[in-house]
Amino acid sequence: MLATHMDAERRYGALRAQTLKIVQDSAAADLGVSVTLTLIDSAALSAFKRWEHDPNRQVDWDWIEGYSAFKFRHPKRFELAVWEKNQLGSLSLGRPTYNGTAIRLDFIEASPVRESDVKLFPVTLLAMTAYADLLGASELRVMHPINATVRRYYERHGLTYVANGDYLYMGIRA
Amino acid sequence: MSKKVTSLTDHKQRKKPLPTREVVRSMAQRLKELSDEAPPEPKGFASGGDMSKILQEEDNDEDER
Repeated sequence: MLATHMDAERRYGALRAQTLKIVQDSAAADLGVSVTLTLIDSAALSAFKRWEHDPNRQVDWDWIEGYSAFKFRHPKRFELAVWEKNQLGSLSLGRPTYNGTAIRLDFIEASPVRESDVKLFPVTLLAMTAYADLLGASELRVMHPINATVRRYYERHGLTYVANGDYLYMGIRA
Repeated sequence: MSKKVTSLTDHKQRKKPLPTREVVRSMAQRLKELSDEAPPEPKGFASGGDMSKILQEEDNDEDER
């Protein structure tokens, strides 16, 4: 690994840690959601294995291999694991756009086995907001919703769909 | 012709960017309202394409819509 890559990993790693700290407080106080936020660490990947082969999964992503490759390629990445009562609720991966004006969410998957009705998507948007602001970006993008139901659900959170590109976006300031 | 000079007072009155915590708090309030009105979260919802394919792509997305 190049020294510049290691330096970027260290610098952006500090911003990812800062993001978690800010959003952990705000999720409970402002969003009213009691969850624990971590990076995608070994505990998160281990917990993912519990639903990896669940028949109700909507996608067949290998987060262990995928995260490893994404981490290597994107030191500026956005990453998030959301936990609810020690159960992994969702995993997310993204990165700044080429010009750095937006943070794009390349992958998000919620656990197919969770029984709670606590909404995890707004928590993810909140974490993206913090990371975007720390990086000087002003927009969030959610790439490739897997179906119309999911797309409509995202739209209900203030995101606008762009058919040419198959993504949704919103500004981080009202 | 005299050149316009920006006074110290003017400089002080320039709008400072909000701290990230304030931006997050404001977004949380926005999201809470929207989320309360939204339908239940689709079980096991996901977004993204082919993970193995996207990992091989170059950073070529455009910022222009």
